Amino acid sequence: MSCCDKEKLFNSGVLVEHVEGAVLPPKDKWEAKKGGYVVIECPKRIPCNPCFTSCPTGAVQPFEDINDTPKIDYAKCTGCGICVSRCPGLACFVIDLTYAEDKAVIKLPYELLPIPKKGQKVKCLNRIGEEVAEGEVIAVAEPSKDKTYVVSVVIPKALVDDIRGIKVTEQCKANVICRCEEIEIDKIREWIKRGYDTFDELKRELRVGMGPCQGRGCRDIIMREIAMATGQKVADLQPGTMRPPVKPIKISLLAEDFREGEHR
Amino acid sequence: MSKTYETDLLVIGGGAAGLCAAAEAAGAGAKVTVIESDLHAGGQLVKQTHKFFGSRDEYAGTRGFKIADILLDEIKSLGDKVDIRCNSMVTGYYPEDGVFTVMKGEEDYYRVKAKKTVIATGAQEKMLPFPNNDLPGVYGAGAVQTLMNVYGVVPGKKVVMVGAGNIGLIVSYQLTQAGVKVAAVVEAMPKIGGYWVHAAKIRRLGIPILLRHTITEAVGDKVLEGAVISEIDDKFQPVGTPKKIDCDIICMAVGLTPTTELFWQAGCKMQFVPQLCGYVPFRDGTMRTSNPDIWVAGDAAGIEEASAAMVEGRIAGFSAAKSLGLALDAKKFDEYWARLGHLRAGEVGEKIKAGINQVKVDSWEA
Amino acid sequence: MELIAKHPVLDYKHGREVTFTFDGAEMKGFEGEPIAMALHANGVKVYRVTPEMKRTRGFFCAIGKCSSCFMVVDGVPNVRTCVTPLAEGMKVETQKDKGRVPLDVD
Repeated sequence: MSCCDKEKLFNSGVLVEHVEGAVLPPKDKWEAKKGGYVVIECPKRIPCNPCFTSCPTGAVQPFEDINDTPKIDYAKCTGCGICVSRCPGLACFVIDLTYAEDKAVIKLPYELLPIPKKGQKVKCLNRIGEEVAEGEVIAVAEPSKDKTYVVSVVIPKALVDDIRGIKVTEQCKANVICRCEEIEIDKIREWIKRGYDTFDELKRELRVGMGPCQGRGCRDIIMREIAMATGQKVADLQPGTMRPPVKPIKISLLAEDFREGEHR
Repeated sequence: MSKTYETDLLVIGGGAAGLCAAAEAAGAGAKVTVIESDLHAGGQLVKQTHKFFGSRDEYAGTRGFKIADILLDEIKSLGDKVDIRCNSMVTGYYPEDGVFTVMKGEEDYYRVKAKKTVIATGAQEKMLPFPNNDLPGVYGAGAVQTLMNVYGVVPGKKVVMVGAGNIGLIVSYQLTQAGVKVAAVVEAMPKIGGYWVHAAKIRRLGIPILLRHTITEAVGDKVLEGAVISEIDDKFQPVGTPKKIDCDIICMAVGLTPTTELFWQAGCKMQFVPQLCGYVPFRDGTMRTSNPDIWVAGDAAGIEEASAAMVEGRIAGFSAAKSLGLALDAKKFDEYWARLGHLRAGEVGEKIKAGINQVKVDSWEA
Repeated sequence: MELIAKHPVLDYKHGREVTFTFDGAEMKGFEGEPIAMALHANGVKVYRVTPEMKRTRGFFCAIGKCSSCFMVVDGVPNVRTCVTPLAEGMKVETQKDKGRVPLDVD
């Protein structure tokens, strides 16, 4: 990008480089900090200070002049996200890099409909609204009880300096393998990668195959995934234990059956 | 017209500035009458769903419509000191009798004689010249806010926003909240005019902000069907191929201009100040105009943020009450000016201050 | 009426539903809310036709400061419909010329 294009973008409200009032936390400390640090993107001087006045720990340093851009004392920031909910410019975020090896959590402000639910997949938007990834919502809070929600989303760590928004649809694009327990392909691949490479192990961790269909919908695909990931043939794998009942049954019927003692 | 109504302090305009002036003066014991042309008090505050900037003193972090409620509650707590008359329009000032005339609804008409008056008539939207700019569907940004935020009416399906000042940026965000698509924001200048953070929040929703672009034509037969936009050069002349965007709303957010007819009628000394977006009255350090019985506050004194309008309202209400002979704590007055000083200390504030310097007098007696 | 069903920040409170007519057609709106808003919610965008150039006009400022939304209401022309409250049985008409005040000559 030429410097002229950069300037044009910045002048239309897009952060193109980290400048005073819009900096990232120091990398070494950030990577180890459970709960994350605040990231404020407020590079222009405006008369506004709720980030400072709302901060319970004094991490947003006092403003000499109300027009100052915010400065952070990272030693005091707990990543609580109060400022995320209080900033009138929706310019505060909290980013936690400790979530997983290649995943981070961003807490961002959200004032649109529909409100996402915990566990929901959402589109992650960059600073110009492009969908750059999918993320999973792990928490939705309304800290100030004023309809500004703080949504915690798991995002790829590589995109922590890109993702600043989410798009929530009533129904997100999803690649569901286990319909009963609602497990997506990504999750299955993730757990296989972690070494859970038999169907039964995955079943214990993810409940795949434990729902009403008892694996009739997913076993096939999961076996293939295991085979691909481990370089084996499906034919050589164990399909896992199959226990009764193979269809949902009223527990009263089972109880009656037990009382009659036919299967003792 | 036989009815004449008398009051200590007449406040014309029940918006951010007027309500603060009324609250301040009534708090000091004045009998106040507020005349408001809309069906409810609160002015533009009632349409604002976003949280305000500023500091705690200006309700920072509180949504605009809630601030209106807070001010009305403050006034209510003062008992019957303040009489707010809505759906009432001040139609003129007659210096020979020193009376204002008021029309309530379309039928009731009466005079008001006040010892002192604060004029806080606010502002009106500016327009741009382009073919078909009067087509139904070309709306002021404030009008769109009224439709969707006050009355819950779906304004349309797809909007082209003209202007990237704070109003254009905020209303684009509010349209998205109301489920209306904003196709683009066009801005003639090479950079946005409003707060950068307001722009960032709509950019990340995918709304393009086209700098150095303007609207060149509205298209439609009887009602709006589209907008033609064009890139412009340094001299604001169209360059390149114009582009048509289908839309059913063009939202105009190209600035406001102070509403000042009553000052002129009252003989107040006026001047055109570009930084304050139009003609404004001269004022002293108490917001008093050259007419010794008339004060000014809010956008009528020059276009600025609502936060500043509220403090100006306090100053004007305070000063008018003081001139009625009521006892007031001078410390409060200094504090209000200190607050205004903070609000005007930023980049945008520089422009406002440069404007105010052109119409500020030390004192009228001097 | 085309109303915003759900909003992330606002809860709308409407008054009593009333019936009015626009150019003879029956419509619904909320009592006390401006006539112009009720018309817009009913999909009406043209409120007047100007006397000279015969230009269609809808509402523009919505705060009673312009002339765009003038209509004939219960026989009275030039009513600023954006700040005039709707009432049961109101007769609202497109204003097609300068508007004539009904003369009350006894």
